[in-house]
Amino acid sequence: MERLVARGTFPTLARTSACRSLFGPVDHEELSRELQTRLAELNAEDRNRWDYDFQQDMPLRGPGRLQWTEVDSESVPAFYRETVQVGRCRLMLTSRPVAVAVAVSPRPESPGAESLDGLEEAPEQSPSDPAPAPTPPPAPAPAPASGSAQAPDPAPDAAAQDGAEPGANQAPRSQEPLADQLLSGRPAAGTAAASASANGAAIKKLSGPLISDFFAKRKRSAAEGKSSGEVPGGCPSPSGATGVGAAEQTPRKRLR
Amino acid sequence: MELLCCEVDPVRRAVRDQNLLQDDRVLQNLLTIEERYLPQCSYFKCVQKDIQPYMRRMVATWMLEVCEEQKCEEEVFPLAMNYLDRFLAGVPTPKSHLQLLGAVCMFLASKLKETIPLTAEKLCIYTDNSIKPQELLEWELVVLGKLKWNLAAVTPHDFIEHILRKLPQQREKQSLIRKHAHTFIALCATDFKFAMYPPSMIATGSVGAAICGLQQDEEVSSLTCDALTELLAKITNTDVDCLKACQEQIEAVLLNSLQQYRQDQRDGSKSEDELDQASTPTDVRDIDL
Repeated sequence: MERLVARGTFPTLARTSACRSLFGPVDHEELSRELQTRLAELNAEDRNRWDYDFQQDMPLRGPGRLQWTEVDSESVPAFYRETVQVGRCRLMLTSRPVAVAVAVSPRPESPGAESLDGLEEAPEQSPSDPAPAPTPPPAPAPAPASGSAQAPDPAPDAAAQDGAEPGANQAPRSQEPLADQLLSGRPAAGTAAASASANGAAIKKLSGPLISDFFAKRKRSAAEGKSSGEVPGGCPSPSGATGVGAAEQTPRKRLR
Repeated sequence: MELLCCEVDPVRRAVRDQNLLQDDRVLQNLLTIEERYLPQCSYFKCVQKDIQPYMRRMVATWMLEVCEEQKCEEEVFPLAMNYLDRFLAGVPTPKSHLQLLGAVCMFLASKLKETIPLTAEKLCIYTDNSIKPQELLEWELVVLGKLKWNLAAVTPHDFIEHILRKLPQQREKQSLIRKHAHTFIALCATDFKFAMYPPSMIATGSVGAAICGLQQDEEVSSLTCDALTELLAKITNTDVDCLKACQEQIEAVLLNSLQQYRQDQRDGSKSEDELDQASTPTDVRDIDL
């Protein structure tokens, strides 16, 4: 109440002695120049940190700390894609072709470098990351092939490769390669990019503590758990992948 | 028939969460991470060329006045000072931009801690319109970037409840002790001496100074001051001598600002209005030394 009065009736109290300029008049032009300098500094920091030109929305050329690879937008969860808010509806932008990228950090120690913002997640992330881009992971053999064949629509892709697998393992097996390419940006990412550098927005899989780190980490353990055969009973989905990891499934649910 | 018109305080506060307060891991975690949010260096020596310690005091005093006048949550002011110090430890700033920086820091701290945050327009009025709301918003981004968006800093306030519940004292005295401790914390935030001290030490020193100060008038704690300091040191794993020194510094700062206040009063040159806005929070004046 007291507080409401204090804030609400401000205009009438406007001139208390607390309203004062401490160090004389401010040179607004100088201030604005200083602002530009500081913003440029911050931009340069971000650019170097992510090896990414945020103004142009393009990865930096040349060998840097991070390596960016395009992947098909439809292979990434919906929340990475650009949306437009129209009234109460959120629409997915599909028409506009935007570069989609997954970055791989070749140096796992880099996340640790930033003390404050690289809290716990980054270091834990590194073991799953350092695999060099061109090597396919040993277990999910079907990934590269099907990835290149059917990149635009991961769900049928998954279903297709299930055909080769023993029936009981269907859903989980199909999940793993997908999960793998999503989270570590490994082989399939490359192939997907080759076949479809088309539509969607950017996913940035980076060494820092982004939402994607948490996402990737969580999803990975889920995927691995399932690949080893411990499929929960309520996880049927003969049609492919729909029922398995809720977060990851969202985009496909929407697409259908 | 009488009509009664009541408005409710629009700010609803959660009750103190006993689960958090009684779990020692919370206190231990606070003690572990608090150092991360300290300014990187004593910036008057190594970073700032234009800004002098007395200017920090000026801007801090102004910020405290604004926070009190706007009835901000107690935490807002020390948190804003934490942002200010961390920014100044990294970015050389001309003195003409210092008030803008102070306003931006209050803006951010208020947004983080309050249900109804301060608005950019209000803060600009408090600078006597020497800055524009647009500038405040632009610089907000710079400050955020330089702080690496790490705004949830540990403040001395985070420790107060943890400390109070471990002290043997009468329940009814607790709110008075808390109030005085809050005042001491605000006082410490205005003085650069304390900028590099870990928040836990400022919190324990403030509680110690509050209890010892009150003790002279009435019985608020069953402990003597020395025993109290030892217990406080144990609670926050602080060195007893460091804590004693800190507490003495706090008391000295209080004495200093009281003298300053009396001086102002004697001068009589200031108007009644200005006296009211003296840099010391009202309740400090109630403490008899």
